[in-house]
Amino acid sequence: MKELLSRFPADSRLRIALCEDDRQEREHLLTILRSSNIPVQVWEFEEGGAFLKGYKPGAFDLILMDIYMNGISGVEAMRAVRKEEPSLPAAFITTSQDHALEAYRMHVDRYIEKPVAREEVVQILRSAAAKKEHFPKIALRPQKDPLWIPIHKLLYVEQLAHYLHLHLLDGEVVKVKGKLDDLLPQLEGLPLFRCHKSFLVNLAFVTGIDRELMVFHMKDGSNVYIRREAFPVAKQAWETWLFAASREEGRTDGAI
Amino acid sequence: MGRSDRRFFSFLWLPTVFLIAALILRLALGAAAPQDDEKVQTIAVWQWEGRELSLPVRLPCLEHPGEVILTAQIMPSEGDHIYLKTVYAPLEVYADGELVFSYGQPGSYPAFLLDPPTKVALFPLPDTGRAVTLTFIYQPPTQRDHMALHPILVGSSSAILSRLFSTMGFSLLFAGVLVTMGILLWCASLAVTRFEKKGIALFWLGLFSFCCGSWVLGECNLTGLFIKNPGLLYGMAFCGLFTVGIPISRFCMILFGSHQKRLLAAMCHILELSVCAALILQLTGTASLARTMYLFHVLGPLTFCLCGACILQESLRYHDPMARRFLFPMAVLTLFALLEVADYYLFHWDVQRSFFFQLGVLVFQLMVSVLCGYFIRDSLGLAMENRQLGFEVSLMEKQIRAQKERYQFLSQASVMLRQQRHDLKHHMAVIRRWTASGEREKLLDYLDQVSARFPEGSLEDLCENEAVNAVALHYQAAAREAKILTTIRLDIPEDTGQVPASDLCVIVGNLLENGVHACCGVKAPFLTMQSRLSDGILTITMDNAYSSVTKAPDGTFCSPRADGGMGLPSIRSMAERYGGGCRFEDRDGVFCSSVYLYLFRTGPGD
Repeated sequence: MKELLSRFPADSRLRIALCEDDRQEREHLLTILRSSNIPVQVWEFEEGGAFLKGYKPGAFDLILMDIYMNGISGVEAMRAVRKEEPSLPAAFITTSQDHALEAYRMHVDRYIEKPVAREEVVQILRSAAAKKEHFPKIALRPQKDPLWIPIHKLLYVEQLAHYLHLHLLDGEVVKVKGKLDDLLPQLEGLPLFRCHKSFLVNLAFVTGIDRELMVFHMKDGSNVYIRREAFPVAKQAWETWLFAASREEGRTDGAI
Repeated sequence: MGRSDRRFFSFLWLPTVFLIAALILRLALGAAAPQDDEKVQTIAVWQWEGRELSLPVRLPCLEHPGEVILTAQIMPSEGDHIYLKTVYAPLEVYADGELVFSYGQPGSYPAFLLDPPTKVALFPLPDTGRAVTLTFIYQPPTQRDHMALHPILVGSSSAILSRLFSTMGFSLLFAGVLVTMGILLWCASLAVTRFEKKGIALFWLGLFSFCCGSWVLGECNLTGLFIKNPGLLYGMAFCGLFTVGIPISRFCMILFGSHQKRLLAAMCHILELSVCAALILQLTGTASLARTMYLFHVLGPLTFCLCGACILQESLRYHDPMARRFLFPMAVLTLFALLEVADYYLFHWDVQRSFFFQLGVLVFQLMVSVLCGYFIRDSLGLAMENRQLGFEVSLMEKQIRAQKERYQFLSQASVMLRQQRHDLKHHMAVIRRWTASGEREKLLDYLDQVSARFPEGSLEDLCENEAVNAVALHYQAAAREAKILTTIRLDIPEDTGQVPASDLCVIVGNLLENGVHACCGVKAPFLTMQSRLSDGILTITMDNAYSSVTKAPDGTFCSPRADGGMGLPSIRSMAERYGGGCRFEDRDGVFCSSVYLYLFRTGPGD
């Protein structure tokens, strides 16, 4: 259990990756970041390659990325991040609007134009902090001291005897005593769907549905069983999630 | 064997079952008839020239003018009626020397008919309470070398009617069905010919059905009891019978006439000429239709045989799948027509006249109508496909136009770039001068001037994928022109994996076409389109204002476009082809279209 807690650290400081090759610009940004009243911890990178070396999924709460850098460009680096963490708060910092479309494609929240205005940076800090605080999560063992599981890291939950096996995005499986039925009251508004007596699936990580095998294909290649009678409902639920996600995409257009 | 062939053979059971049912019904009705015998008597034994004569009978070689006088003694009860049928022979009926019925006396029918048309009659007998001597005085028809005498029935009118219904009800019903079918087929042909030229075949099929119906209706004795116009029925029966071969040969000419068109056309013309000749002969009072009928007893079945042979040739020699399907119904029709003729001349089975032909026609019509249904569906599908292709071509044209614009922009930009490089040298020189002379104010002033004139603008992009971008741009322009608040932002890469960009263009184009169209006439029109690409699944969603949406019977939406909403089905089929699906829903007055498909992985069920 300790390990689980360590991976979702209680440190409330916002962990920021700042990727910018222009030293002056970097200093300017650092000043803004540190002078806001949101506690931050900043890692600086001079180019995309260095950033990717230091990057691990879950390591940062916010990424500020220059587009034109030597070596691997900001767009390339962001593409790599998005493969792992599609919804991690991120912003492009650049001189022109030419890459607005790419920014949109990579689900980048903001597009900050140089020279960087303080207000814009503070705004993005605030929204990232809010996201860190209020990420959708479910509580395990609600009676005793609750253990919070962020939804964006949970693939699916399987009930095996008296234990819940929580399959996480990075391949880890967490075993907790409990019953799926106890989680049901918390599911309102979350992309979690009870597709089987012993399975609760996170629709956000479903990559396909198979009528022959009666399973959801998951992002990590695993399969989650669907009750035969629930198949049409399951399919509909997943499609509904897909469509809603697409519409959500249109709404998170930030400052583009 | 193709899928359509299996589909065809799977409904062969339909006419087979129908045939068996009809035969059983016929036999059951035949068996049920004698039950009425107590109420309905057939006057079987008559006196003729001192001899006994039992009806029905054909009296050959009678001289004109002459009379055939039949007498019989009956014991009528109260309310008894007589049912009789006289075929082309004027008739007077006396009961105990008193005239009770008279028909077909000279002057009572148009002279050009030569003989009075066939008449059936049901009239009451005088209630005398004792034995009655009935005297039937026939005058032999001038147009025939024999006279057919039909059985005379005596009984209460309801009993006689129920007996008649049990034997001829089928014919009457059948005639009704045929006439209705004919009219329906005409309506269908009107609709089908709008998009398929061959739909005119349905008109001929309808005419065939109508001709058969008219013949049977005219021939059926029951009709004669209700429609008291023997002349009309005479015309209906013969015109129907004579012309029956024309529509069927025209029908075959259209569908299977690619190799034997001349033969079929010749047959058709022979029939047409013969019908005209027969009518002229009748109208000039030279020969009645009843006499020329014998020619059509040959021509009709011959036409069927010819059509059957043509279809056989088409199916065997030229492997026409359509002909293969029509072979069986045509064979049934021909066979039953031959059976009917054989019965008329040779066997004289105890069945209602034209019974076999009716069965044949019914089976033929049923099967052919089903086939035509498939034909219509297929051509509808084809018409839809054509429209779809037309739409795709128009999308391609839009892409080409956009590419041209892009090219123009690029060539303009290169000219501009040269200009700017030249300007840059000039700017540098000026900046250098002001800097060197330390005139800071002038320098700043100049920099401001240059910044203000800094060239802006590039081509607007809605999407990385060039083809989809072109289509989206086109519709965005159209939407903005129509004052629609438009936001389109798509995340579709240049590499679209298994899905050709043209198919994505079809989806995006159809959605936007629908959306822009739906916004027409709305107070605050808006349209937003966005997409999401994740794990190889591309989701495209569009929300727009709309004025009216019609719901199809199956709960799906029809867009209110002039072409009847071809857009949504084509979006659906496109999405399903790539493992995805789509949804169209109305959310509080906003029309929400959602589509998803797999770009980089085959979908489930593939």
